[in-house]
Amino acid sequence: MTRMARLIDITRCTACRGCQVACKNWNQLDGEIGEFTGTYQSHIDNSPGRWTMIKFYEQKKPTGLEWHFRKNCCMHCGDPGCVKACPNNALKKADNGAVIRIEENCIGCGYCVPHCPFGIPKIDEQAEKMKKCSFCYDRISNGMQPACAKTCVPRAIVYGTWDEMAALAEERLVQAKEHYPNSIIYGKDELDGLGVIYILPDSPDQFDLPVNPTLAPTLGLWKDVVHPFGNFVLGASIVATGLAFLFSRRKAFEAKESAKLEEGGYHDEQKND
Amino acid sequence: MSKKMIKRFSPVVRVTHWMYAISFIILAITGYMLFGDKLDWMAPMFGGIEGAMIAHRVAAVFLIASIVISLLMRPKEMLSWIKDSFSFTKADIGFLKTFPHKFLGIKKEIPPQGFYNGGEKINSLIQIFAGAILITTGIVMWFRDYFSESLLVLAIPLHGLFFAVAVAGAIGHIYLALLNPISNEAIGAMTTGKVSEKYMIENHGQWYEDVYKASQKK
Repeated sequence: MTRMARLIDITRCTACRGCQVACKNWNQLDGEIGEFTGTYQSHIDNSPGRWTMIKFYEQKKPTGLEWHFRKNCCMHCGDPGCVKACPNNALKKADNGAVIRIEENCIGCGYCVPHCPFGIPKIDEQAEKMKKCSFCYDRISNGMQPACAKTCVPRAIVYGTWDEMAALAEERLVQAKEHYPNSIIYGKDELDGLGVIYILPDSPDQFDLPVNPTLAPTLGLWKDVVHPFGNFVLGASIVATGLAFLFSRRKAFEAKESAKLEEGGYHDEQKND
Repeated sequence: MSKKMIKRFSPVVRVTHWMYAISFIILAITGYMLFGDKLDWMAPMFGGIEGAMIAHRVAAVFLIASIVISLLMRPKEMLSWIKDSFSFTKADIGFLKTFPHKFLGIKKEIPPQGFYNGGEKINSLIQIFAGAILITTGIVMWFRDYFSESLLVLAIPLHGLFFAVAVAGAIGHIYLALLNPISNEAIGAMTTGKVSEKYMIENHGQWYEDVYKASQKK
């Protein structure tokens, strides 16, 4: 199946937060009243029961005040660190590009959390499960668009194949540059292409996004070196001691037998039979 | 040969050793459930892998407690063990040369060994180093909120690496003490606390000398 993606155009978002509601609605997540954040932003961050939310950015620029709204959700990376970090095969990259959780395998160990460059996975400590955006996997694998994209009025969230979205991003970039000359496309090349392609009015670091998202080098060390080496060491030690055990038993048995023969005890026993 | 038994380990050291051993085995089994999937069938015993993660933490507390208790109650015995482990002599190297034979259960002349032989010293060093790293990285992973993310992503592979090293060492240790017919008398030292004089002379000649000389002086 072709890889699907969402285009999120920050320059078009009006912060209606319809996507936030639609996500809760479709995924049957309860509403949560957040603490006052000091701005119009509803909550501080995503949570196990809040897989997407709009983050508010108030910026003083030489040209005047700018107010931007970024939808924060799982990027469904081309090279997802969380999938590699998961020790219990509870995460997988689906054919259509969605990074999905396998609920019954997840034990809430939280190894995915430090390995996500975007801080997306959240641990539900009560349920001992990690929760995050599923890319509405149930919807998109049945030919529908994700709930957030469907509800988006100003077409700031657009859903389609990755190639379509990459092409659309170029069009949108031209439009965005009319208002924000520093506009860029984010997510086309990062981590083998993200499943979310952003149109950002300025550099990524102004929107809490890493400029150059990378996976921790220790992740490769762990999964590609330590893991096979550890399994080899454990297997080798079990096989070696097992063989040595058989060999040493045989030696001990032989020693016992020859000692008996020397004593002459062995022959006596035979005579008695 | 006389059947005289020689005292080797004090009751406190024996109890804490078994406390360490049982905790270690539980830690290894529950830890492997995250490392690989070949022991996942044991998970129901702990109430699923989620339960195994709790058992892992409980066992970790017991393991650390066993170290602390032994150090507090028998500091002399423990410190001389640590000191011995870090002082590697010629006799220890001589022992390691004959080790492949011993491992396969073939008796061979060994240079007179001290209270701990060369192999025991290696095993001790593995446990001391791997244990220190496992406990440190384990604490980082348990109390992850108090440590930086870069420390956490480093702790995870280190924990896995030294888990494998420590368990491989432990498998060898258990085999030599329990299953190998020429060295399994050593188990007595950890159960009754005593070994026979014959075993002492054969396997720890230097120790025998030391004890003998000490008693001569008196």
